[in-house]
Amino acid sequence: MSLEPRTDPNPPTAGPETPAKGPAIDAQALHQEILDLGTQGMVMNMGPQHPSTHGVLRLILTLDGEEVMACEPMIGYLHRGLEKMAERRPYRHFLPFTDRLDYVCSLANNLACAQAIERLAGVEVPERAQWLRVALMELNRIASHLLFLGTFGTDLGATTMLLYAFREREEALALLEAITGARLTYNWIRVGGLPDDMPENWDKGVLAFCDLLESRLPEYDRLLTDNPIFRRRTEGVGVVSPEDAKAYGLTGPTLRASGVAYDIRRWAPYEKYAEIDFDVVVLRDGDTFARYLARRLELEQSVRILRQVFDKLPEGPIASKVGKVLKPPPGIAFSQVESPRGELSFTMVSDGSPNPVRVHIRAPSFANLTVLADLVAGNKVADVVAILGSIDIVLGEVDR
Amino acid sequence: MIAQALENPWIRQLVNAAMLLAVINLGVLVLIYLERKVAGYIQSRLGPVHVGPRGWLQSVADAVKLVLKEDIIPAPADRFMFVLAPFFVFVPVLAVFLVLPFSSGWVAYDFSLAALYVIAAGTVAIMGIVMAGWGTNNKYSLLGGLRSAAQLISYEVPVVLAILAVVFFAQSMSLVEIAEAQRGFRWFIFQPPLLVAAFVYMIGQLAETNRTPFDLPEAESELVSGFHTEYSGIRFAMFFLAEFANTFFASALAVVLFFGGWDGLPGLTGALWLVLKSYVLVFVLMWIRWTLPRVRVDQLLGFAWKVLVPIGLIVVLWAAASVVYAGGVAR
Amino acid sequence: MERDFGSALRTALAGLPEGAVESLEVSGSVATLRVNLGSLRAVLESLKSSPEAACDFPANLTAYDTGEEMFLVYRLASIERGWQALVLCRVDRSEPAAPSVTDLWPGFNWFEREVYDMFGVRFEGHPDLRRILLPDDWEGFPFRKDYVSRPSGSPLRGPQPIDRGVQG
Repeated sequence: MSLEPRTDPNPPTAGPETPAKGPAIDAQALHQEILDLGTQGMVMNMGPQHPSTHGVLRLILTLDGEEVMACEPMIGYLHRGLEKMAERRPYRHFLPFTDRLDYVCSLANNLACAQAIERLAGVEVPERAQWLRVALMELNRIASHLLFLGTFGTDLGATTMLLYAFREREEALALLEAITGARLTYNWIRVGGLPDDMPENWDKGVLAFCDLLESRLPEYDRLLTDNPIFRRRTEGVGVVSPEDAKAYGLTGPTLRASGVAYDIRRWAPYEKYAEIDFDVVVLRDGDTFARYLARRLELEQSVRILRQVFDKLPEGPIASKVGKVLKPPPGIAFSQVESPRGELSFTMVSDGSPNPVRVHIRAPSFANLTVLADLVAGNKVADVVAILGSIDIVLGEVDR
Repeated sequence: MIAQALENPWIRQLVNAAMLLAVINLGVLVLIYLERKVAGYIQSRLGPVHVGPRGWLQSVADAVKLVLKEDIIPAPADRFMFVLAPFFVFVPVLAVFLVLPFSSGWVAYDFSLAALYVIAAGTVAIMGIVMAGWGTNNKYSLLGGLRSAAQLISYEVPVVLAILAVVFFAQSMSLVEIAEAQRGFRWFIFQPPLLVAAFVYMIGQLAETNRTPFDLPEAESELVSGFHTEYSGIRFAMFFLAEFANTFFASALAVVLFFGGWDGLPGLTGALWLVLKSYVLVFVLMWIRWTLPRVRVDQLLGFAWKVLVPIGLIVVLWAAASVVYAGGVAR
Repeated sequence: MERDFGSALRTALAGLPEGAVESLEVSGSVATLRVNLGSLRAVLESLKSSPEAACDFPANLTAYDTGEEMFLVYRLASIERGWQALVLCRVDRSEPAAPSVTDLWPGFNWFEREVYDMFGVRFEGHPDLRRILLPDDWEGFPFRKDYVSRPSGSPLRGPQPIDRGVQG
């Protein structure tokens, strides 16, 4: 370095004012300096086969030691062309395929698909079916959120949480099996209603399950929510501001954890959600812990909804008459369903023929995943797992 | 004739070593079974039930399976390092057992610097882990190996400090003498400075044995399996064996250092008391493992250097002060 | 709400040139706008930034092809006001292109990539317009109605084409 007075041909322009906080060393400048030396980051492939990418997500991480410099998510490993398949068969024949989207909560997919067809074709759904749909939705949401709690715990090394959550999820799946006959791919919602009524005493089983789940929630809190290590791993990690959350099109608990009250069940109520009293869980912090807590608290709301459903469940038919061949009038329609992961929306275009012209699935996981790359940059490798876990994606619907 | 042969110090040492090896291997088999059962009950499931009565033979079945499995060496691996690494991890663990006194006469090799030797020999295992991480030529393993090196070196310091405090009280570095000093329920854990030292020691050992919440080198949700991701068959078995043997050793050493060694109520042999107390401590370690989540690497190192090391230093000073001024020495 | 939303939209779009919005229907809380490709970006921008409409949430972006015409379908929601706008815009089928809006909504980044992947619509100004779901060497754009369904790309990627004599 010379001692001559510095004559910079391009005097640095005044950058945006940065508040004076944090360490005296400008970490970013230091980082840039290291990069200028020609040091290369280590490129690490996380996935498509990796225990914590929740399926076949592939993340190309550029690491500087333990720190992530850049992250590029690669998707499509599970692409089955479901939307294209939908174009080649009559409307209703696509319903079983939707089970394979978000396979953790397949009833939400069934419902979103059926709703889009109902709106396109103008089919009415009887009251009882609407209430039962709500019950199914919430029961499936509980199963899905319990899976999230378990896998999120495992992502952070608390393996016992998985077993605890699965213990209760088992009960929920047994109830769903009692009504649909399946434990994962239910395919139980039809255009215009449901294929069959609930079995006898099913409501009693659900209410008993609600009590059971409520009694077990404090156990989860003791094990995970209140654990200081868990808190330190998640609090302040991967913060999304409300503005960013909206600009990225996040939905579901991931968005509500950032302080934006957008829950389709309240915002554009479908089925009977308008007549149900429940709270939309909105948290302020927008960090990994808030995203976890949002789902944990939604369990309580789901229990609350389930209890109301069976108070108000009317007698009556469970399906309206729909013709064998469905030929909706030409037009475009979309459905909106609050799946456990966020806004699930089917957009359907009809030209009056028995097959749809186009079916597009707006998968919440797909939209939520867009924010990942920006969130993990600058964090540690271990945080990648925590943040990804807290976004709660299902690759079946990301790749479709 | 056997008695005559045992007169020969070489043969006697060999017999000692062989017996030790058998005890370690058996102990580990029991430990693995215990771990599974404990994990099972903590997680509200049963654990192994099918092999043998109540799943007793599950560990044996696993051991046989691991031995019979194909030994795969990945093509891009550094063969020399890859093959050598398990030994570097396994042998130090065996070596430290040499000086572990099971009872007053029951020690394979007693010498006056045993406490120092335990620390020194145990540290060699870090080499093996780094070698495994590097030799596998897998980025996950490399990260695991590096984490492991950072972690073991960091946590060695508080452990050494805690042991040092004990040495002050016992006025000896021989493990036998340390244990002898606590006879008649004058266990070191009842001395206030050493109670703190025991906590420091246990936390440090938790990290050194790579158990949750400090199991970062093999964090399966981040690094798949860390340094032993690519190992299979007998080589993997050696890592596995070393890990469990190490867990047992850490607990047994804690018993010798703080919980009176083989001191116990009359009626049982001393060695049984030691093993019993060790298993209680091992159970505590398992309990912690299946309850807590994992910390992050910066938190891990921060905790070692910012919390444990200062506490350790204070404990050493405190212990020294109580030995010199308060006459804390037991004898 | 219907009347409020209609008037809010008209205020928001007042500054745009004649013919930018071809039609505007409001039913319930959903407005359907048919927009001229030339003013697409301007419409989306004013929907986002106008304080009256406040449609700043990127709910969805997709496209559909009828065989004769190809449309982009944007759905923008206003979380505060509780309404949403469905914006349809016809693109040239022979060489589909549209202005990118990733700078307005980073959330549309992947959605635009997906539309490119499936329909071949080039989004001008997109920072990283690559295939997203299909392999990089895939030939053609499968959701165009003139696409002949035949697996393409590397033979190692998937099953070989089986000719069952059925038209796809």
